[in-house]
Amino acid sequence: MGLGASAGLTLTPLPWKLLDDISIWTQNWPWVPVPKAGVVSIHDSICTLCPGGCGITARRIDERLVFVAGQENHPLNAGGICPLGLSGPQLLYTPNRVMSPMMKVDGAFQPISWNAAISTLVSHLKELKQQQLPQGLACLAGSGQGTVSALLQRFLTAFGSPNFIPSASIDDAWELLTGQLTGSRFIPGYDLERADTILSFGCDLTEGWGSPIRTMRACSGWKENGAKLVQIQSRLSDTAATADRWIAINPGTEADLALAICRTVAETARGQSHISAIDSGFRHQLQAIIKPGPSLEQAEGITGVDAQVIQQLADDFVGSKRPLALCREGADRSPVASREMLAVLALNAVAGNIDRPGGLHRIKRVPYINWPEIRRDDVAGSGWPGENLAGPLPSPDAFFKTIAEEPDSPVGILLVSDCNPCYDLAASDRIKRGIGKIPLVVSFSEYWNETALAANLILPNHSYLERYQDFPVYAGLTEPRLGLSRPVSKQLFDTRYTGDAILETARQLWGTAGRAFPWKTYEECLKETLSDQWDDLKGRGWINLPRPPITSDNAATISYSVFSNADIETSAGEVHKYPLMILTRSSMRLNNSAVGTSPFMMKSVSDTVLKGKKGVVDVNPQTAEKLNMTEGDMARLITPEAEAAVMIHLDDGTMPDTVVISQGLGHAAFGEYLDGRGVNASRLLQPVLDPLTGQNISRTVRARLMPV
Amino acid sequence: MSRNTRNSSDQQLPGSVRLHALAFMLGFGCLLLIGWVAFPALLYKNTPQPLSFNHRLHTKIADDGCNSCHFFRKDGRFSGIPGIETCRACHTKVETGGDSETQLIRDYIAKTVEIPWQVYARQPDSVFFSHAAHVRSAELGCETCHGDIGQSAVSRHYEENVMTGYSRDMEESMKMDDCANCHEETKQDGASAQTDRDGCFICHK
Ligand code: SF4
Repeated sequence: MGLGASAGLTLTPLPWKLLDDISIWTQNWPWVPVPKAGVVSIHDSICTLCPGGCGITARRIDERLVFVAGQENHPLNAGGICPLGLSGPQLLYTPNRVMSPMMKVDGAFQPISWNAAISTLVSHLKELKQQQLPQGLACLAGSGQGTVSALLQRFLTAFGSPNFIPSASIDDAWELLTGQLTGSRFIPGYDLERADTILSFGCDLTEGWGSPIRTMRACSGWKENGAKLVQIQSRLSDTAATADRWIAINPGTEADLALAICRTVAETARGQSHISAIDSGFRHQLQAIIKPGPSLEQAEGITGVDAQVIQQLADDFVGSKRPLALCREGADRSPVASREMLAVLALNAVAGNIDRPGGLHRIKRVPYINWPEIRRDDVAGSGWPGENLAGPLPSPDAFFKTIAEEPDSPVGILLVSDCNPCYDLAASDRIKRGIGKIPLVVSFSEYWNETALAANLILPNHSYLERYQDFPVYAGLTEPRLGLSRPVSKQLFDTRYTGDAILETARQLWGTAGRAFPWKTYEECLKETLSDQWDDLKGRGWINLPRPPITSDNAATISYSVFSNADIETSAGEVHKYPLMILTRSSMRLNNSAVGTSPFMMKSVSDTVLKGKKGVVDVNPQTAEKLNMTEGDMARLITPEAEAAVMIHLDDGTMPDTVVISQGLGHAAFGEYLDGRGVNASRLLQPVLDPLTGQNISRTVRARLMPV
Repeated sequence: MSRNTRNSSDQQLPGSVRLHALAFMLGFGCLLLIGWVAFPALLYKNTPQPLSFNHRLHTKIADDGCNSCHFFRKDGRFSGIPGIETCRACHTKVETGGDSETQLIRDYIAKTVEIPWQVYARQPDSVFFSHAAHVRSAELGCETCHGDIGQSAVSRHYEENVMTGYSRDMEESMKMDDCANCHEETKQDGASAQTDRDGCFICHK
């Protein structure tokens, strides 16, 4: 019978089917998460994770967002997306989101209700008022653009405080400088797509410059249409590696090279004719910029670039049809030294490419937030905003300097929105100590970043995928845009628009009589502000901003004495004690902003940048030999500000006596994927404030390497 | 003696053989029955569809035949299971008075609730299948994979494999072997060992 049963069994599908099904069953354990099936839909929005303003398309299954890709028909990125933008779902669902309002009690955070959170803030604000110290309220914001920033600034003004401190972008610095230089404020828009000879002064074109995906697309276009890219940079970056020519230059001397080329071009007949075509006032200022520039021989000594090479660069540049010089940007489009910015502007001017196809276009910012001015009698307190603690073009670094200098903090309440100063400002350890002196720090962060952890109260914003946000995009574009991000995911946690938190605080402080804030909700405020453009923006996601003509009234007020300082962006540090120079490196795989790097991006970081938890630095083999170090050795990297343990990686593309370190690592927050991995480059830097813009421009610092 | 003994045992053999043969046949028959009848009955759970849908009737009266409900969206995605809004486009009020139509309007359209269809051809989550690539580019007819469902007048019960959770239809004609065979026969060039097409990521995203 057994035999028959066995024979019968082999003639049925049972054993084979059972084997197959068991194998499938073992792949579908009930505890293996399987996303629920549902109706697929796609929704367009814009990415606000960096100033690039790319279009994105979110895919949803029913209500659940499952994927974010580049929007195919968007004029900036045409379907392209960077690793950070692609990480949208991880940034939305991360356990590192602040999921409800939080209050620190005895050093530990506890969830509280929105009512309790806003009442706490309101009672502290009332105390400041009673003490007649309205200027004791300050606010650090990620940018000065958009309605949320405008609401925060308006709130401070209504309260009687001038201390609204947005993180200035290079565009803010350009406006200030060009306003002083030509009497007309403008931002450069680079016509990358039509240029044929590009001189890039240290711009990380493939690692995130301008609107990053648009720039990368332009770089590919240059390869196809035969345009020539010359990369002038102190290290062999990815951009330098893909350029037609790489000019290795001494760190921090880009402005000298630009000025030397300017001088050489200005002496040619073509240069002369270009200069004479410029408005008289600007022409006068231009000559004042170029004149103190170094001669070819001097430039060779300063920059380390052969005089003949400089001459050749000048000849090629002025001899080309559509030359374009590009200026470096700091991390997250922060300003660089004004000397360098003006030198690059002057170089474009002498090449005759201002407002020409393939050249540098003068773009005027167009204000679109036209709320009525706050009247003096709308201000709830006695005072009227006076001078900002952080300078005329306020700088967070200057703000913390003031806090550090005073024995007691002059600020009683600090609001922090959309930035992470405890991580990304130079000398970040000092910033953390400074923030610790402020009695009440209120963060609006949606993530548990370093500054949120240092706060006393957190009023979490919605994620960028859950909210409306107006987002002007300049970022070196010749056609600036206003974008609107729209919610592509349902709200997941007990979060609120920062705008709504401000409006509610204003209501509780001043009642419905708070005339400066007539809106019931932030969405109502946004809709009213964008009025006629709302429908277009909601539908398409962006509109072109108008380009008003630029008129120059020649009211120059710049003091050119600063131009004699060749080493302006490098903080002081005795050369014999600190013989090396640290250079920072940005990358598309690591994000330096308040959002942090996603787990997905961390998986793509090479082990020559991060080995396990150890931060790796690039050192030239000759320098390593001098120091008696070799590949994989651990060392102490010491600067006048701080020190860190690093692993040595030998790299021929790094200049002798320099050390290259990546930005975006060394967090003390953000959970297991980021916390304690690598070294925070900002910790090692010291702030150096630019004499013209007042902004921190330090990207380098002197250092030494010691064996462990 | 030994001869006798052998003889006698020879004589007993037919009875024993018969017994063994009977046992063999019994075992054989039982297992055939279990394997072909009982096992499938136990393996698959039968569930009725929430509504009975008459494909034959709909393809006749809908303006654009199959495409009226199963269409490609602008971005190339395929309306495999049309949503309730597609039904609403035609069924605003009860017209035929049939049970299914009345139920459709009362329980789903009036309440704007999606019909919880059990999808015969639902692929597991690990599979990415593009209708656009197969229908538009390779010009396959629906029946190549879905059989004659377009001619059905009622909705069959949905049969779910209780071990794997997969649908029986999917198991019988839309497993990876079926994909591989078809790709093999139609000589698709590529690198995948299974389908002779590009890489694993084409189908397993
Ligand atoms: S480049 Fe910037 S805007 Fe574009 S996807 Fe990446 S983070 Fe978003």
